Amino acid sequence: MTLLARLLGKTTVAPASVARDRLRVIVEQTGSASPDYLPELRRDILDAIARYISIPSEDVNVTVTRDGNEAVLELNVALPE
Amino acid sequence: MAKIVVVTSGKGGVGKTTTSAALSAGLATRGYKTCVIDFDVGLRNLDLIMGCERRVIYDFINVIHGEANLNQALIKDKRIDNLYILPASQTRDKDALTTEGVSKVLNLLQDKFEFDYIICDSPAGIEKGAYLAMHFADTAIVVTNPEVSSVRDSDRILGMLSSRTQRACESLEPIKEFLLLTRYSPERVEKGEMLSLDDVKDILQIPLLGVIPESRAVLKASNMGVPVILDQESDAGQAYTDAIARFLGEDTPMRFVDNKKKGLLKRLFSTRAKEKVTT
Ligand SMILES: Nc1ncnc2c1ncn2[C@@H]1O[C@H](COP(=O)(O)OP(=O)(O)O)[C@@H](O)[C@H]1O
Ligand SMILES: [Mg+2]
Repeated sequence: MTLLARLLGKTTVAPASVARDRLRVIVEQTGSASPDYLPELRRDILDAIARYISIPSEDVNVTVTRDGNEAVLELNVALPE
Repeated sequence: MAKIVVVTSGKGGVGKTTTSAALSAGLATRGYKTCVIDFDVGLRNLDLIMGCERRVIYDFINVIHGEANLNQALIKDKRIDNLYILPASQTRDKDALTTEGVSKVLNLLQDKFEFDYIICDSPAGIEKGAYLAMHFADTAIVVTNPEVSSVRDSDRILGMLSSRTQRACESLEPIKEFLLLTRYSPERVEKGEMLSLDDVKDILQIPLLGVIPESRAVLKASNMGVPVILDQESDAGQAYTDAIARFLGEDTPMRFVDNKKKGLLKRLFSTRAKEKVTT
């Protein structure tokens, strides 16, 4: 979005930037950089969470990020109000 | 009982997934309880085009192998009532699909879930995945581009439909076949650069369901994860809506088949392709 459009409060987002954001999430969760047990791990985590609270699956993010030779498993859960 | 519809082509990249998304969204909008299944195991795509990739937890293969039930794997669309997506597995390959497994899932969707339509988005090729996507179908939509290799592959697929589907093997009433010509560009046809609608119809000899123009709206829709049929301002969205009306037996004139830049006189005298199809 151009600065001008942003200042004018236009909220339409460019399709390409939506695509970029969607792909980033996919690559973090299931891309070649992430171990192949990640989908199953995410499933188990979802099952565990579902025993306590009911939240939509897209509010649970399980990602692995690599930084040099260190890998970090990150669990991000957006709790309902 | 649910009608099973396969969207197939032989060739890859011709618009099967775009069409499966549009068809399922369009039928659900018209009030039919619809399920769309991604048969492209290993290279799933439909979830992206439908915009539900972050909601995939279990998939078609998990259900076939009894690792999840259909209730867990079916994703209910957030925008359209009556619309459900069964995603493919990203980590397995097509050998994970079995005839018995596919049959079991389709039966459940028909009997227990009482869908009106089950849309099978076929992978490219003529191997196991494509074979299983078509095997149980009542109706086939053959997606074809106005291009030699695509037309030849469609012809090959028509041969498979008439010999290797359950309806053919058990000598039941034959599968209904329809042509959907996509990525059509009337300007290029007029210039003689592209096969025309009549050329393709002549060669394939099956009833025409519709013509979807080459459209920028398709890329936009896939970026956003919204089936293009929901963009009713777009030519492709309108063309898909027309094709679904014909699929449901309504008589709708073909649009987007003539070059808009043609002179008025020429346009007045040109005959319109009109055809009624029933499913
Ligand atoms: N009518 C159309 N106009 C422009 N691009 C299209 C059209 N239909 C499909 N496409 C594009 O063609 C490519 C292949 O489409 P897709 O539906 O994934 O084909 P398939 O499932 O047959 O491999 C995609 O990039 C898609 O955006
Ligand atoms: Mg596809």
